[in-house]
Amino acid sequence: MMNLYSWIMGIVGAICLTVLIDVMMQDGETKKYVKGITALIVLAVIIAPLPKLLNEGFEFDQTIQEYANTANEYSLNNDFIYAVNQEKADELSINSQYYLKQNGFENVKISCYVDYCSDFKLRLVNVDLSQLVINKNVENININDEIIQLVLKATGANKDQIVILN
Amino acid sequence: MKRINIVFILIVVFLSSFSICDSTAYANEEGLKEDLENQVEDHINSIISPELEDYFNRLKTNLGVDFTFKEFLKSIISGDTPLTIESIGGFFNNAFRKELKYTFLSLLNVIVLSIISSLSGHLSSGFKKDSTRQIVSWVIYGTIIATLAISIGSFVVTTKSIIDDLSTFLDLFTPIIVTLITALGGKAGLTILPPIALLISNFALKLIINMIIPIFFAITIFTFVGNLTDTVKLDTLSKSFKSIASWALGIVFSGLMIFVSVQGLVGASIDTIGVKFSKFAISSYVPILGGYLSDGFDIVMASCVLIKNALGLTGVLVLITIALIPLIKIVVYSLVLKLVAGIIEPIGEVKIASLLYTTSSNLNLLIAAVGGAFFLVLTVLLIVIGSFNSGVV
Repeated sequence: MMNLYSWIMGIVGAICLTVLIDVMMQDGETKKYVKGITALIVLAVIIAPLPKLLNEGFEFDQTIQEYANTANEYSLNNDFIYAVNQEKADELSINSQYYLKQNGFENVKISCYVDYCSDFKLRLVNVDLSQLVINKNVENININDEIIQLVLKATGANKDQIVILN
Repeated sequence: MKRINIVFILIVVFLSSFSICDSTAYANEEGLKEDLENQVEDHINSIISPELEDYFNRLKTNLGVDFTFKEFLKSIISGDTPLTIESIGGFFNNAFRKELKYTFLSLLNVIVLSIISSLSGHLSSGFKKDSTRQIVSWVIYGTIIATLAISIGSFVVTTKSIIDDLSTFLDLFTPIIVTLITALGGKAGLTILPPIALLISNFALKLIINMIIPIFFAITIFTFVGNLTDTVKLDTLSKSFKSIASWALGIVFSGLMIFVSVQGLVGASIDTIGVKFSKFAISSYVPILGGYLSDGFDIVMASCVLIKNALGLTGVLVLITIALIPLIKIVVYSLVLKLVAGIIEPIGEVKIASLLYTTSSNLNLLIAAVGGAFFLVLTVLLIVIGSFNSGVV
């Protein structure tokens, strides 16, 4: 791009020189020859970069590399994204606790933790049953399994991500 | 009697249940609003970078405001912004009138010089040699060129400064917007926005600085020089350079505009479908609390969407300050030059009228370059505001 700038300025300079000579010189035979020479100089300035352009072509690789390097400068604020994802996880924990309450399991403390990445991915779901109060008939029911199933439904996590704390 | 009492009690209980529901709904709404305001406050404080604050502080004098970027953003979100359509319209009106007055006064000397040149031509029988008349004519012409060159030089500096400001604005703005879109779950936005911003900042804006401005210099000098003598004609060369620049601008900006619009809308649609699908999945999987379960997400998402849209609107206002207000100067100057050329022509100075008219036409190149860059960045901001509202809208 900078070569284009200097090329255009070179043409402008050559033409200005031509005009200056044309204006300064008196009419006569000498002026005709001088005008012819300056015209050739202008032509030479115009076509000077063309042989290089025809032989080597445009250099795109350097330009693309510059773009790629600059792309890395547009970096994400990963701390902010992690904070937002963790807020979503905290909201999910509260809602899951309400869901369990609706299904007869009160005072269950659920804590959801996310991965430090740009996506919302649950890393761990802690289910604290130390203060569990059961408000329904649980005969012939495995309480842990029942709670795990409900937490799976509420959080969308995988079974291996859920940790039951008694 | 007993039956009437029972019916009466039932009616009272029935009616009072409405008031309980109302107060519960009101309390819930108030709580929701407070939660959302707190979320927005926290997110704004953590996402706005100090570099963006510094950049806004430099623009504050042009905007005529006295608050920080965060305060400005909060005022837009709350709806208490002092900047209204009327105030912005008034601002433009004042800028236009001020520039019109200033330009007329600065070109008044050109009219006077043209009259002197015309008179000296009519009084040429008073000069012993024709060359004396020619020298007088050149001196006047040189003075007019000097007057024009000062203004045109300042416009070139203004154009470069606009382009640099636009580039800096994009560089500061894009990471924040991309972060917000990523927090909203917009993966397509993450892959589309940075390349778009790069293309605009590193390619389109650099094209203006490295190609359009030199070509503008070239055609301006050809105009000055070509009108100096009758023997040297540079009209065709000037027109060909202008044509090259116009085509380059047209191709680059049209292509980028199409790319930005398509990529932005498609990317936004992909993200909207993706996040709405996940929201739908949660809702349908837990039918009893389906609606409530996804509401928790909505407060956090709503906060991010609010900030994103407010940032977009703030960006539009900053863009107007950076680009439109200086553009008014160039447009007014161009129009007044045309008018002055029309005034001078009947006096008899065709060369000077032609010089002024052609210079005015050349300024259209700068106007097109700045206007094109402005609309390109504006399109990106409008896509950001109108799209990626996933999970909430």
